[in-house]
This record gives sequence, C-alpha cells and structure tokens, in this order.
Amino acid sequence: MTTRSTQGPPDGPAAPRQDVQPDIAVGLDHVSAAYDQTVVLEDVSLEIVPGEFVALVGPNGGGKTTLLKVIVGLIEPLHGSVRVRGHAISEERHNIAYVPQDIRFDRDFPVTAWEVARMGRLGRRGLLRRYTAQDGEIVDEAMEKVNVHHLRNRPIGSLSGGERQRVYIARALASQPRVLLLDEPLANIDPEARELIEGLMVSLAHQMTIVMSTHDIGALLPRIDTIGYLNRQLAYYGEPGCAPAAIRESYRCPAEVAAEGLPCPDPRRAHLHEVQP
Amino acid sequence: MIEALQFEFFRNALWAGLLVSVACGIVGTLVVLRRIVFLSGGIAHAAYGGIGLGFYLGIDPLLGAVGFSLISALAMGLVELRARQRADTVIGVLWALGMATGIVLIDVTPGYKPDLMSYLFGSILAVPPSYLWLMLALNAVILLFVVLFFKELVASSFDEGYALTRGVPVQAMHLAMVALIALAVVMMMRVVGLIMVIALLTMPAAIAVDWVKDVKMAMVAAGSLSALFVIIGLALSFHLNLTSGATIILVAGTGYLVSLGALRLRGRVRSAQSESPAP
Repeated sequence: MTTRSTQGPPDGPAAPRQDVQPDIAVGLDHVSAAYDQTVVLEDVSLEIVPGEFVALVGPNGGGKTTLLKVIVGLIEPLHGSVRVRGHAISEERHNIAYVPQDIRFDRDFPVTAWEVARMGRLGRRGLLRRYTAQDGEIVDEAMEKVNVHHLRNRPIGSLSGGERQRVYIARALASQPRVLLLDEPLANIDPEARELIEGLMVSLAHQMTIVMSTHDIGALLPRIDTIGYLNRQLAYYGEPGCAPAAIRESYRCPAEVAAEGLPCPDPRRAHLHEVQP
Repeated sequence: MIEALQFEFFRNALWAGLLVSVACGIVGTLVVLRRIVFLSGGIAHAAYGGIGLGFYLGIDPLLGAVGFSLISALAMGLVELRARQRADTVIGVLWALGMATGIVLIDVTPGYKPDLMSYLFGSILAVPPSYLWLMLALNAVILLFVVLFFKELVASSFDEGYALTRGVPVQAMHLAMVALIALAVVMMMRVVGLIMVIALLTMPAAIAVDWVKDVKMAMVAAGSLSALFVIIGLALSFHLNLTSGATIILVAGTGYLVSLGALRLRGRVRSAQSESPAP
C-alpha cells in the first residue's frame, strides 16, 4: 500500500502503454565509463522495455548524465555494450532522442526557437539534403505538443529556462523518436514551467520509452515504472515502491555522498519518504 | 575618391576589398558564432611561416601561405578536438612557431625581399589582377561548402553535442571550418596584412551577430559591413596618405565601438521602458 503526496499526478492513474513490443528498447550489458582516468560508471546492466518510463536518481557525480550520454552514443563505454532496440546506437540514432540539461550557449546566437526545434530533423534529413516543408510541419506539430509554438519566432536566447527546456523537448520530438532521454528536465525552472513539463512527460509516457535523470521525481512518481538509483554503480533498479528501502540501504555509504541528490531531501516533496514498502 | 577610380590599381583595390568581404561575411560569422577567434588568430599569424617558406624555396609566397596555413590550421583544429583543455596553449605555441619559422626562413634566404612588408601589413593598392582571380576562386570554394553544409554548420555551432547525436560529422565540420579560415586568411593578408587579419575577420561579424537574429542575414550584414569598412578605409588612406590596411582596421574598430555603444544605449532604453509604469 502506498501513500502519495497531495501533489499528485496531473491526470489520474497511469494508463496502459500503447506501443509495448516484446523486444528491448535499451539494453546495457556490464557497462563502465570513465572521464580520463576517473571511472564514473561501473558495471551497469539494465534492460528497458518499450514503453517503460524510467527515472534515474542519485547524487551529483553519480553518473546519471554519463549513463544517458552512453546510451545516446556521446560517450564510448570503457567496457560492456549498449544496444538500442537490439542494434548498435549508430544504426538506431534516428529512433533515439536526447534532451540535454540546459546547455551553455551564446545568448546572442542568431537562431529562433523554431530553428532550434528544426535541428531535431537533422538525422532524418541527412547530409547534403535541405530541410523540406514536411520537416517544417513536423516541427510545428512538435512545438504545439509542448506548447511553445507561440514562441516560434523568438530568438532562443530571449527565452526563459523553462521555455528553452520545452524547445529542447520539441527538438527531440521533431526527430520522431521511439526512445526519449531527458537529463534533469525539471532542474532550474520555475514551478509553473515544472508543472507544464511534468504534464507533458506524462502524456509522452504513453507514446514512447522515456529515460529521465532527476534530482526530484515529484509529481511524476505515480507514472514511473522503474527507478534506478545510480551512484557510480546501479545500487537499485526496480519498482518505485521498493526504492526507498533500497536507497536507505545505500545510505551506508558516507553521508555526504548520499545526502546530496536523493530523490526527496525536501519535506515538501517527500513523496518517496511517504512510501511505505 | 572618384578621381582615384581612373587608376587601375585603385579599381583592383576596390575589387579586392569587395571580394574579401564575401569571405569575411561568411567565415567571420561562423568564427564568431563558434567562438574560435583565438584559433583564427593562430592560423593567421602562423601563415607567415608559409610566406617564409615561399621565399626560401623560391616559389610564390602566396602558394607557400596557402599550403602552410592549411596544414597549421588542420593541426590547430585537431588539437582543439583531441585536447580541448590544452588547446589555447598549443594554439599559442603554433601561432608563435609559425611566425618564427617564417622570420628565420626569410633570414636565411639571400637577396632583397620587396614584398615582405605587404604580407605583414597589407598592400591592397598593389594587388595584382591574378590575385583577384585567386580570391574569386577561394570565395567560390567557401561559398560552395557553406551552402552545402549550412544546416550542419549552424547546428554544430549552436550545440555540438546534440548535433553529434543526430549523426552530424561534427569533427569533420570543425576541420573543414578551420580550412575555410585558412583560405580566408590567405585572401585577406594582401588587404589588411596577416597581423590585422583577425580584426577584419571578426569585427564586422561581431557587429552583425549583435544586431541581426538570423545566421544567413548576419552573414550578409557582416559582408556588407566589411565592404563598407574597406571602402571607407581605402578612401581615407588615399586622401590622408595613410597605410591602407591599418586605416581599414581603424575604421572597422570605430564601427565596432559605435555598435557596442548603441547596444548599451538600446539596453538602457529597453530597461527604462519595461520599468516605466503602464499608463
């Protein structure tokens, strides 16, 4: 029996997934990764089925971002293998999209929100081929879906953090992915934008496989199928209901390591603490 | 200035100024957007090694500059890709090594080198017609590349990591980009001189990017500004009997400072407008 916080899901209990297929959407087999000589991921194995909604939690430096980058092919694993829909990432690039944590960029960069979202079409169009009118329509649709179409002509540098985050999600959706990876989509945005993005993720969860890294699961908890607690190693990977006990177990590591980045250090958002396994 | 147009050398100078502005607008905008001004400075100065090599081998120094700056540009580009955290140090070293190589090679080459200063400080008034054809050809290469790979260049300049996830050959784009800079440097060295190339490459583009919110339009604006600065600089240098390259750079610098001032003013007006209470 679980109790949820009053800040519940935006639209009721989780609906059944539509595109569940028998194969594996993302599979990691004993993956390790390192920056220079520092190992940040160690022996991580997991399987994500199509349509699953996975949240990765864990302390800063625990390897959440690295894991997402390994899946999307931005970092070569030191050991182990990564398969996306049964293939190497180079063959599945067009089916997987990545929303990075708010990138550092030149605020004066002369592109509009729409042009940024259109970059999602790059992989579908390929070298030496221009964007087509159809690309434009898909981009418009993606922007409408995340409610940023009215910002289409605004320079990207003039948008707020939350607006920019939604443009990046639109850019990812414009590539029409089957697997969507989001790195801290709820960080550094105001509460209103947060609610919008949470609602958006709930509706996207019905349409594709989602892997999200986060410090704070918040209202999304009821929608999440699987929680992965990552602190260099995958300390826990399973149903959210059992996560708190497992995460408490991992408190046995030095407190300063575990104290930061736990899903619910803030009592106002103490969803996980309220869960009684 | 109109009377000066009757002289062929002056007409050639004007053509050279206009041709160089095409490269300045396109390559300069990408340099500013990709924040590789320092790398471009390195390429420009290292090109002097090519001039020295040309004198030493008894071939056209221009040919030496094309080859040498392409090779040094690719070396610097590779360093940026492979050892990003050390890149500024290594580029600084290659920058100085290129120049030093040029100076020493010229030292050990016997005879008088009449053109030497024109490569360092520019001599737009002494541009031969053959150089104009070379500039035209280099512009065609630059233009063709940018038209073919525009969407990849913009995407990788804006967010390299994301472009990589979409299968854009980001590293190849970067190396192609530094090769374009090398070509632009060769075009510009007779106009403003190797020492001041970086200023003409970046100032018009920096102004354009501050005011124009579209990459293609910024390229057009940067090219137009560059042409304007070259023409005004040429006219001033002709009437006041000043070194043309340096005068062009001073005109461009004045333009840049005026633009910065205007930007600040615009910022103040906007913040005042947003603070003033609604009627």
